[in-house]
Amino acid sequence: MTAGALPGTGAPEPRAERGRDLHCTNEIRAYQKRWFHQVRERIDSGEHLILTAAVAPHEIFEAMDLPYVASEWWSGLVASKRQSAAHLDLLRSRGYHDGLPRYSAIALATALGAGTPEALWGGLPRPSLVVDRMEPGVGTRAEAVATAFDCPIYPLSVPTLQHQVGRWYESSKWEWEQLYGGERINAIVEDYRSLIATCERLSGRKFEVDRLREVMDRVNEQQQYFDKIRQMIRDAPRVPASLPEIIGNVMTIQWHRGSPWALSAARTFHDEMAQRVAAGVGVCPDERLRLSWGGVGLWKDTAFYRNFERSHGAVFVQSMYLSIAVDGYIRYGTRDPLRALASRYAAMSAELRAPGMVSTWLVAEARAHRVDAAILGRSSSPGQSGSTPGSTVTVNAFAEAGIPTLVLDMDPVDGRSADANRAADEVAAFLDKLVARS
Amino acid sequence: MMWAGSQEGASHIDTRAGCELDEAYRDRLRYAQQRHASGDVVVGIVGGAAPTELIRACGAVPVTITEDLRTSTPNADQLMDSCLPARSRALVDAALGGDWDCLDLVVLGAADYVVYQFVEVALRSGLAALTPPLYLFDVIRHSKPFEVSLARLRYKALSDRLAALTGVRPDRARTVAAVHEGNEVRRAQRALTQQRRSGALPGGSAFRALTVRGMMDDSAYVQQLTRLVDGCVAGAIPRPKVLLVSSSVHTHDVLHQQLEEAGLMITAEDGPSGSGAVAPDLLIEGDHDTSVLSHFLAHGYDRNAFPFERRHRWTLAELAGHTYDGVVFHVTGGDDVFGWDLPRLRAAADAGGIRSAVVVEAVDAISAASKRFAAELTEGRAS
Repeated sequence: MTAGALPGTGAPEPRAERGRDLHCTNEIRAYQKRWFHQVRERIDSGEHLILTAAVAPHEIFEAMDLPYVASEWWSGLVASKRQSAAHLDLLRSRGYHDGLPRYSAIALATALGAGTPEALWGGLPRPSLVVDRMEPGVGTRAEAVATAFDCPIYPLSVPTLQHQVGRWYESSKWEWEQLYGGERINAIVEDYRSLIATCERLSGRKFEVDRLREVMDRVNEQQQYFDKIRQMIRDAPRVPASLPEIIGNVMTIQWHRGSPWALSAARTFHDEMAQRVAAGVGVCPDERLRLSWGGVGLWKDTAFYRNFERSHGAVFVQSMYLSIAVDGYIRYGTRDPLRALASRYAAMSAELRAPGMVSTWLVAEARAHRVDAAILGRSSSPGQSGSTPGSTVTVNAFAEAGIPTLVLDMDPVDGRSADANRAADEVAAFLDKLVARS
Repeated sequence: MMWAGSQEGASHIDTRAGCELDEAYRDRLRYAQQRHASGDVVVGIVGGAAPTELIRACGAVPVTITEDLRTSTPNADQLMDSCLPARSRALVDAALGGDWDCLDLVVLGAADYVVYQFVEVALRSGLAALTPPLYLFDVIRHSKPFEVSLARLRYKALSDRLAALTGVRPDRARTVAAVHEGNEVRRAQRALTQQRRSGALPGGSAFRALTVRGMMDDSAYVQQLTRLVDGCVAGAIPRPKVLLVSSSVHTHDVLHQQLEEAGLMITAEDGPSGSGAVAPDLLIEGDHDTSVLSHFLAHGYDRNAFPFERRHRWTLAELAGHTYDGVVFHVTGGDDVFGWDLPRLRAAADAGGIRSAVVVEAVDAISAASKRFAAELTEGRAS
């Protein structure tokens, strides 16, 4: 893999900044590529691949040593290779209308035959099982993916959260049972037991609860390193690494969360960030404006985040990826690890999308990171999912907190739209105003 | 306003029955307001989210709550983006604007979770005066054993909530009486649906008649439907017969008008005012609560049910077993559910030898597409 690529995906970063990458970043990138090739080898030798989603109990698969890929990661990889346009065109030609959310839909296009194996790390192996949430807009898509791959699907049930919890991030690590409802967690635990039985039948392996507890404890420890990294970013005079680098490292480690490698990588990542902070290193020496990014990462153009460092001294310091790793994943109290795991995913979609939950969290994170402004991505197709970071409720919440916002209509993966240049102009104009005002 | 909805169909039906149904259709909250003024406990149901039998057995009056798509949504616009489904925005607007003040409780299902969430946000933000309490009755229709257990728990919780409101527990005698009343309505709706299927009643008229269930007393409603059916004259209206399958719940006839003005005849449709109106009678076998819940789980309209074959069971059976000249698949803005199923549904239509067209929400696009499709089908019939 080329040096200077987006960790885990291969997207190029600006050439001028290559020298500023953390040492661990190259190792993390290399591991991700090596891991995927190993997955391919394992599938070729008769093991079963599980195609799942970002918000799904990967920990069960990790505890059973079952290879799995999250469809969002695949979308990001395809987008970063500038191949999303062909994939999305194929979906259109097969009758999927353009109003459907494109993020995560790439796997469906792959299943229908889009893409060239050479360009995409050998291609996505055919899964033996699709596992996804049966939430509105997610479940029907996952079913279409399973049908296209001609493989079974395990539908994860997600009973809706009866009430939005405003400041969930303050207590969800400890009080998850009270916060997200015993009845719902009971149901999800039952569902996970059924999923485990399905995985046991598929693989012939036996699930061991002690292994899951070890995985859960490692996830907690990993997120504690992430918590310290977040605190460093919040407190340091200048942000020690670029946002695309941070997102890439965090997400690669997150995909492998619970594994010994992930814990080790999180520790190394933390140590190197600490060294940088101690040495006073900043990714943008002329840091004058701190920005937060609300929304899915711009996988089709991650260089976008660094466009404004030289021109405005503006640095993106925060996104949901590191923040949700800390606030959404930690679950203390793993005596019953399946129950703790169920609570982790009982409300994660709501934490990221429900208007009454995501808005307070984004504002709290922006404040804690001392941002001067927030750039919020808005999806044109939120559908039944309710909200996006660029929604009116979130913009109102930022306004109430006195933090200026700019809403960008940008699709994170659709390479057909030429919205990146327009968006860059919009951000530059917005920053001009901020600078003039300060 | 002519009840029949189209000049061509007007001579086929009894307009006296139509007038009363039409009044209920135009003034949808009138019945709820009247019952509220009479001192009844009135419970609104959005999108068929709860079994009326349970509400009635608890001594409350179930009323159907629908969105009004013909007005602007200034209250909702303070919170909701224009890309969110128009139906959701209209419902939130009604809740925040005081339209639901005549209701003592409003029950919503998972399909309208967005509405529930935004009203909750509005209340917390102080953007709205107190609305009636909203109740989320979320049952999952995937058939896993624990989902049925969860549905039982939630049914019991709803029952308790209603009993707290009325002071009445839904015992067997009350439930049996409510079921009897519900079955009378089902029979009348099935008879009307049969007339519609034969082509003796314009689709828009049938749709409106089926939509106003829960907007008048059940006994009066049954009487009106029966009169409407009795007034139908045998002999199909000579237009291409189409099956309508939409991405969204419809409670307004805007789409029907557009399609029928274009020359099509909607003789059946998926949705609460179509497939939802042909449910079999509810039979009490053993425990009365279990019977009501089982019927609700088996026959409730649910775009999020799993798997595909269950979600579209009715549509797939129609495509396989009935004679239509064509199928219109309708996609509303903000759809992120139905669109994933659309290619498979079109393939099922193709397999049944039925031509299909997809129309999207924009009014002009629907008119143009449906006119083209009507011409195609008419030409096909002639040849």
